[in-house]
Amino acid sequence: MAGCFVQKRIQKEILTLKNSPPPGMKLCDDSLSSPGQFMVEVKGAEGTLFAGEEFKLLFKFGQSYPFDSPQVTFVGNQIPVHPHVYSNGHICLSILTEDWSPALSAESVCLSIISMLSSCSEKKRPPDNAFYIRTCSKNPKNTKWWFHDDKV
Amino acid sequence: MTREIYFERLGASEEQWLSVKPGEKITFGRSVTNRIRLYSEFVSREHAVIEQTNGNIYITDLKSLNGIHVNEVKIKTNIKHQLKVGDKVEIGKPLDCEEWKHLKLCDRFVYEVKEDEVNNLLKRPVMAKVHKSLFSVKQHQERTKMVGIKRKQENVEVASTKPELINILHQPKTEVKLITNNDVSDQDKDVKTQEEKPQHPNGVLLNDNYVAFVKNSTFRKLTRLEKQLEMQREESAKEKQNLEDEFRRRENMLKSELLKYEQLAKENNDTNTKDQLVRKEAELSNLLKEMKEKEKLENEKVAKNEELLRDKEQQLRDEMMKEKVLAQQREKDAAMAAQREAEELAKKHVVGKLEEELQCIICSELFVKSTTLNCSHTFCQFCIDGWLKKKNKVCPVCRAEVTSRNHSLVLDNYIEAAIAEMSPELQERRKMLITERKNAEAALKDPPKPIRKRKRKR
Repeated sequence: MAGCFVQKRIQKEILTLKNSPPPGMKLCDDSLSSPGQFMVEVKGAEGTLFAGEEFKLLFKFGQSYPFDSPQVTFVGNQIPVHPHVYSNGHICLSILTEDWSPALSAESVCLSIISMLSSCSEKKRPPDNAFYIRTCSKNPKNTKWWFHDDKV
Repeated sequence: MTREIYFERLGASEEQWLSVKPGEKITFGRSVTNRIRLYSEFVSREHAVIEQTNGNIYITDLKSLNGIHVNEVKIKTNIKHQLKVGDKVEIGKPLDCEEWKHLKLCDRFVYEVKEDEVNNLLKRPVMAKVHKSLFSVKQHQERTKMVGIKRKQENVEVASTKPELINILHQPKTEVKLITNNDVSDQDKDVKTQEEKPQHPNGVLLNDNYVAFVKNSTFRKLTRLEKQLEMQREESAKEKQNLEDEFRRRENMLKSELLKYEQLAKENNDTNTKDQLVRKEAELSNLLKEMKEKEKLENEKVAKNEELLRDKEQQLRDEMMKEKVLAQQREKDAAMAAQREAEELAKKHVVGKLEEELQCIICSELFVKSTTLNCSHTFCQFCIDGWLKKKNKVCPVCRAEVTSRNHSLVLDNYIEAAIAEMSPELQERRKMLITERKNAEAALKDPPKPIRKRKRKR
């Protein structure tokens, strides 16, 4: 698939995030230098366990975007302690793999992640965190996720 | 000694008086046709007439706007009102004018009816024909600024109906006037070229300020010319006045001398005196002849000057017409430009809406071969085909299972028509996009073997 085909779509998503970002997220301007990826700063929603905390999400768009989901991981020093987030930043979220739809966008992914953080009731790492970070690939998309918990 | 009744204007210079001889009618008013011209806008063109019949003095209001007040009481119009010595007559006093209360006597037209011996009256300066009011002159100038054209036409009317009665212009003065007018028109030309400059770079002129500016400049021009004409008229009237005064003085002198000689002749019956009398009479007739000639000459000059004036006025009016047409043209242009702008804006708005509503959610482009699924969601054919190649055949928007795909012709036609109206760059981009899609589709028909991604189980 030609590069310029996805370019307009990515460009549009960047523009939306830049000009009218939904509450709680902000595009990092310094991350726009490399093509096909950018960073978004998300804030924990008020009244939740992550209120006041800030995290950085890295979006990487592959050649087959938007037919394939982008790689989305937490980066930086701040990784939220959450049952679905591994300490290396990988996120266990269905829309990032199986349930991805081309109608989704970076904005809707961010919103899903904020919602996921907000519904957390206990700050803890996933039970298999230690094993996973030792064995996983760099790309979370190469992981065959097993989605079992709809509550959080 | 006989006594004569006369009118004296209060608060004014000495020559502003008039005597009324039996059978004589003296008209008052603003227009030049009157015996006494009152220079004020509060005075009607034909305002009043004073006459003497059977030794009584009467004043009649000729249906004037502001009326006549005798001893502060307004008199009835069109009815002879008898005046007696000591009466104070005011001409043209508006009914409710605030400023009138603070006005000096010399700015109003108040005449007192007086009586004096004829000999004393003969010593008075010659009667002035024009009585002025500073207040009215000022007002008059302002009014001229406001309705320059109207005033102009009025003057022309007067000029054409009674050319012989118009104030006389003196030849040398006219030359001066012509020179100054030339100067003025030169200046105007300069101004005009400056004014017309901004018109060229843009092609279409849209500036309202500019139109207003041109209008103002025309009014300024008119006012300037108006003032000049007015000044000239005044000056020439003065000249004429002086000339007449001179003649009258000499006539009076000669007449009195003649009278003296006649008396002498009666008394002495002297041939010598008779000779002198004849000589004097000849002198008088010569003088009269001279006067007539001069008057004839003057009249010719007046006619000539009037013609010149009328030419000038015609020119000015032509100019005004031209400017009016130009202004109309400019207004039309501006209106058209505004309409074009509005259309442009509407087009932009429509394009914005089009971009919003007719975009494929997958590629963020206007639909290329729009395809509608069974769930009523629409995508580009290429985009939805690309997505449905994945194993989960659901709608990207609502995740409903895809059972049918239909080409939407009406959407395609509409988008093509809309794009034909857009800028050439957009059209070019669209063309490129369509060819790109075609190539990609061709490539997909013969697809390279997909590389299976290794998947890890956690």
